[in-house]
Amino acid sequence: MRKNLLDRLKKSSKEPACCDKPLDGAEGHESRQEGLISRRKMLQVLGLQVVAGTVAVNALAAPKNFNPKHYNREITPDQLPNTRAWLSTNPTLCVGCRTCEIVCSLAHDDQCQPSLSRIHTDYDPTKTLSKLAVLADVCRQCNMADCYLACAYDALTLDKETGARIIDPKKCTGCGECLAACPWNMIVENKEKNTFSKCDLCGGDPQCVKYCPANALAFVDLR
Amino acid sequence: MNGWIGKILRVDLSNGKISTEETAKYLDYTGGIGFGFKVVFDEAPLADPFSPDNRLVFAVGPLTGTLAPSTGRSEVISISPHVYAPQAKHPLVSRSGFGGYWGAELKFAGYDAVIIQGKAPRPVFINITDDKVTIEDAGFIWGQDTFAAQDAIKQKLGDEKVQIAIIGPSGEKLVRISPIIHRIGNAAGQGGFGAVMGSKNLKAIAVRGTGGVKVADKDGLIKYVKSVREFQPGPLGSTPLSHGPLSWTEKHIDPKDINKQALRFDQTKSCAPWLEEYHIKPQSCYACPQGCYAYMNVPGMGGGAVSCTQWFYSWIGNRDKATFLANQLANKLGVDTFEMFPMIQFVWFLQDEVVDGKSLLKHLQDKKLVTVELAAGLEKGHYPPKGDLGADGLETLMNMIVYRQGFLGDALAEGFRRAMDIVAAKFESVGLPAAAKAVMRFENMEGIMGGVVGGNGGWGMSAHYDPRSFGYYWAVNFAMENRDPNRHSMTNLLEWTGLKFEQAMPVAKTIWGEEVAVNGLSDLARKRDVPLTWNGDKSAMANATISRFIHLRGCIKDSISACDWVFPIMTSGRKDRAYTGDVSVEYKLFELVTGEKMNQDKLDDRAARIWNMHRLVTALEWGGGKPVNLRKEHDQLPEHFFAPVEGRVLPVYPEAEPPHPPLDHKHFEETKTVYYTYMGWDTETGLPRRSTLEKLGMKDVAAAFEAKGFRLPA
Repeated sequence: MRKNLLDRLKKSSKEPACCDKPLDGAEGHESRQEGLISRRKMLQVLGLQVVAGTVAVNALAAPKNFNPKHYNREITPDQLPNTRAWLSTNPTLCVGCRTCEIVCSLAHDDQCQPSLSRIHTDYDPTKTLSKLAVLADVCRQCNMADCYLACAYDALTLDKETGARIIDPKKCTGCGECLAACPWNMIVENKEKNTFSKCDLCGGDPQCVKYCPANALAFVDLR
Repeated sequence: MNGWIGKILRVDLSNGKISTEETAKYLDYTGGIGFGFKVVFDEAPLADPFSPDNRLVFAVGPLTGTLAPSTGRSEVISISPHVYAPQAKHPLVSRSGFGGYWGAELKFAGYDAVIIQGKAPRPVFINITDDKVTIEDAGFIWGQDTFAAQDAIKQKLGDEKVQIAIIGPSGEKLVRISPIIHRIGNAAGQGGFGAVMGSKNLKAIAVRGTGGVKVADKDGLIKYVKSVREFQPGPLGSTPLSHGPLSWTEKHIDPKDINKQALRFDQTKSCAPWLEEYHIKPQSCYACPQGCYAYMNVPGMGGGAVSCTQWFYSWIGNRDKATFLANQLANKLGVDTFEMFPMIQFVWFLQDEVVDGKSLLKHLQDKKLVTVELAAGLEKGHYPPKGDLGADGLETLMNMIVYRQGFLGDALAEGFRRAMDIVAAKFESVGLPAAAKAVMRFENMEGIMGGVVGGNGGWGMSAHYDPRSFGYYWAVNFAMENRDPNRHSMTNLLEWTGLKFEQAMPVAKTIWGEEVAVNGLSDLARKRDVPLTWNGDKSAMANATISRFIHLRGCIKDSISACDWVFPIMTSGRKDRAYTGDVSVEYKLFELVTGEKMNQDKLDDRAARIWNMHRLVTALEWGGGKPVNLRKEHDQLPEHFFAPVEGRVLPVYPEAEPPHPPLDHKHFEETKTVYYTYMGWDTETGLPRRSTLEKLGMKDVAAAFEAKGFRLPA
């Protein structure tokens, strides 16, 4: 029976949870066809589609100040060093206790507040379990991180240890471009503080992995 | 505030008024059932269950929503339409609870409790989104099953993450055994609170919250939870040593991986192995590392969650897919699965019991009290070889109950115990007194599994665990409650843990000391034909001590609010700890979360306030405000626990061991005397003494009681 489930999950999930190739959704495929260098231009051209795509996929309105021109800092995507560690999830083991959300928000934001958690639980995201299950969804720490490339204020930095793409709360202006750029809906808005945050891999000791009682989360560490 | 949010929501459905109150005024009662009993005591202790006046309280505790493990419980408190107490002047208050995510979400929305009163003029649901609370039309989901209606609400609100507590068609039809359902299997099963919602025209409460719960000592909590994980056993019964027919363990434990240890409540394996190919995975409630629910998806029956008595059809002998259908129907339409044990046996009984050459069911059919079609359906559900105990019989019965079909369906919808009276009275009125008498013989039925599950435990309910097996501490537990006394405190020591008696006894001694453990628990290992030993005062004291422990720990669990299956953590799977758990976890978690300096005595005092409050509400209800002697009138067990088995109705199916020999009235009364003394209650009347209430800081409550009712013993 577990095999059945795995097969069903495989059929329905389009991408692996962690990727060392840039799989950023529809525009990613197109930009690869066009060649990597043109990514910035492509994105500027496709800016509107990015917004539209985000709306369709995430049912989220793009921030008013979204500006495709900001969809880059002074580097090309290939200059962005690869990440060296990330989280992966195993939906067949996840039991939906949401401990990952609780410990994440408690560790980072001093409260048990899933709405601020950088790891999310989704209700049956694969739509193959008849809305039964609650499964964890994590930041991919994309090699070509759209969030990183979107930030015009250098608030997105790289963790020295893991290469994780992290948000420096001191520099974050709350413009929301990282949120709009992320194809995985993994940027978290803190409305109270008017800042954004994301998974920082806890500096190489991710609390969610440590406290998951089901071994459903793994820390892939290639340092 | 740490732990608590600080606000309570009140919704008056009669006038649509929505207001908030400070939690502060209830804080002495901790949360959960503590808040609930206090609200009922203050506001409407004598209300009829179905009157608009009756309060329906959903309350959580300070630990809910935090990292503290297994604390996602929501407690439901109201005056119960299910509890059957014909001697009481007014219906009695009761409690139930459910897991899942609703309770945590309520706190994230900004509330420690919701108090519902009044009655909406038309079907509505309450929509809570943080501080935005609305009463919305429920016409579009009225009549729908709980799964479809939850989906419809989520779709209407455009939010998959909204958490919903909802009733099925049974609640709408005021079926007295109607639960409140959350998601696809979390249920506040007993008490008939689904019918209380129905009586208020309230289909559902949808909650979505984006706030958080503050904790006093973040680093301490994270560290402590980790240390608890290191010794905590898996779900009950998954220690490495589990054995015997009630054990579902894989005989190994890994505190890091519930998928390896959660097999105790992966009952698919033990109850319904023929359904294993449809098992998806174990599932937990909020913040719980236990995963005791089995998620299944059976073609043609959809997805559902199953745990414990939701496998009732299998427990009672079914061996095909109908076992899962039974669970689905109970959760979708809304039927208390635990009530289904005596219910099914009562329907069998109507077919087995013959008067004047005809079964009772045939008599009913001849008097046109049940249609030929329905009677045929019920007959199909008879155990083999008369019937096939399959899907047809089951569906007939469930639909009869939920939609109150015909005279018999209408009677069964009142719960099995009320149904007996109704059917007997009907036979009487149509000139069949012999049949009426025969119906009442069912009162002495024995439950399955040697009387452990499904017998009439008093209060017209199916009851957990047989006092004849466990001892007088469990008998006192039956006597003090207003419902099935289900508390797993004691079964967390031996029955479900898989420890052998010789391994559990040393653990018991670390908790209660040598004298209590030996005199109170030595009988657990005895054979079926051996009566309980009685060692005079020593036995009375040991049993009273354990009773008190069960009640105080029960009130702690239901107020902080933590899972009954998990706490207190008596045992461990670890040999190097001599299988000893740690029963101080509750107060340590309480301190880390709330910041209030805590020890076991202080937390016991908090629990005692709640238990005394329950007692006071019960006393008011029992006598309608007039003086009562609870000891004589309320604190009793059904007589069949004291009578020998010979000549009584025993189910012949499924095969069961006989119950243990009967209890002794004198020993029962002696234990009660010591128990009252330990609780600071008057030994003559069983009422809380005024001095006890004052010691607990409840002077105002004592005064309020005397103003509403009568003078308490000094």
